[in-house]
Amino acid sequence: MPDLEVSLELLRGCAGTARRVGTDAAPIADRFTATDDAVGRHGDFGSAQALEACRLAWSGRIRQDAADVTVAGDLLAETAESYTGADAGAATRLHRIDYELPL
Amino acid sequence: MVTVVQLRDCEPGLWTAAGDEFVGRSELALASSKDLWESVVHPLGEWAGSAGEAARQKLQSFAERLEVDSLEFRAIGYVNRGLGHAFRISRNTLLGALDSAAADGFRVSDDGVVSLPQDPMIHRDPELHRLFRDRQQQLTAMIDAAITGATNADLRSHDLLIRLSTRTDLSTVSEAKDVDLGEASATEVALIAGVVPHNRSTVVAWWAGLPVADQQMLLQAVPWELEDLSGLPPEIHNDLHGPGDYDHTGVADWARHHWIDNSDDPFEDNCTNFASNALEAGGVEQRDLDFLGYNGDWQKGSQSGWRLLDEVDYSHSPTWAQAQDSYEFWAQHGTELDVADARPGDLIYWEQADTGHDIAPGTVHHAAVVTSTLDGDVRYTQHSTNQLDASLEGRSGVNEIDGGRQKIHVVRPSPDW
Repeated sequence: MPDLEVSLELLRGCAGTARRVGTDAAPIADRFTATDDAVGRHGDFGSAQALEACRLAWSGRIRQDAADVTVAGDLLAETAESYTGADAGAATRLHRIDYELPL
Repeated sequence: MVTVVQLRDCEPGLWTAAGDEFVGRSELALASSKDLWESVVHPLGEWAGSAGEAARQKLQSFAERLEVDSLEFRAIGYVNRGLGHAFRISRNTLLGALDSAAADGFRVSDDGVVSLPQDPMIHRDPELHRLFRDRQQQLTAMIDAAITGATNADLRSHDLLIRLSTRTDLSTVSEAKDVDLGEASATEVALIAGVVPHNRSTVVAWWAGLPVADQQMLLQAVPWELEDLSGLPPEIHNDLHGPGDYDHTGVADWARHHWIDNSDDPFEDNCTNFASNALEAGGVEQRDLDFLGYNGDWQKGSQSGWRLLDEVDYSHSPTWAQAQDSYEFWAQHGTELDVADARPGDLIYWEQADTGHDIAPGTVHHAAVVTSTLDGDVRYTQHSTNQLDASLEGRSGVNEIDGGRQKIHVVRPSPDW
């Protein structure tokens, strides 16, 4: 079993940043107005259809990536809280030593 | 096939704007990735234990996916920017031909067929008829050149964009950078080169009819396509050759033609050897002052053809084969320029600017040949890793995540021996 060393402050900070990055990245997938104009104006060009395929595929991919990063941030935050809970539980158990095994 | 009506009515600026939009999204995705690397992945390294390691690895994979997103968005953007240029030049060529046809009384059908004017005089006078037939052929050739250029650009872009649209399962940064972005940046340049006609009489009218901005763009983006083109004004050929005794555009041309030819790559890292070979191919003579090549020489010595013999430094001066020595040599025998002033045929070097990486700060560790400049971006061709018309702007952001900041040097050699 390796030694554990975790800074809850660091973990919470990383969780917050990951959530923010995920939230900030999500709009990258939205509102391709210039692309829509190009495709709409040149629908009879083969490259316009291919460009639309790119927009659909890659906006879907980055939307998913952004959501995954947000979820990862949530999980890091949950992990920080579970470490806090584990520490509080351990403290409670140690206090019971005083109660159940008085000197 | 793109038709006359399609090309006449298209709006190339919309393709450029779409390209810019994708490049803009690329920059946002890269910023997100860098944020994740700097503020999450690296700090998580302090979390000791298996949970910390698992978390760090997972977040690293997300940061790398965002890098891939950034590279792929940029690749798509470059193809569309190239289409914008190719369609604009082809459309200008077409409109020029249509205007000339109208001014001279020719009719042009929607499918591009040029008909002689109805004037009975033309059909009665054999000499006049011949003159109008020649003009008809010239107009037809101009229209064909415009349509062919636009059609090839549309087909080539379609194929690459479709391929890029299927790459969403990609998670390897190097593959996104070296394969997909590499192909896209080379294709962007090729799309522009593809609109240049090669029939002499067409070239004369085509060049004269281009807006000055398009001429300038072509001279900087695809000079190697123009240098030997019959029909251009002589001063263009002189400009493309460049000052001094060697052919600056020829250096870039050789590099482009040998970008994937590793037959003269005797070293583990051949970037500088490749750049030196390109200079020699452009007409720069070797400088052989000293038997061992350590006294201000720039030479590759006698090559035996046996790799085991040729790969030792004694056969190549350090100035020929090592980036640091090459940079110092050409900075002394040439002019160092701002990156914005780079032109095809110049040499480009990378100097490590950050601490904390494998290469010590201040070390010049990579060299390549500038083969195109396009929309303010330097495009270079290199060996180790082989790249054709690679984008300095497009690769630097991702490269810095792994390798740290780089100081870029552009040098224009001026051999003085």
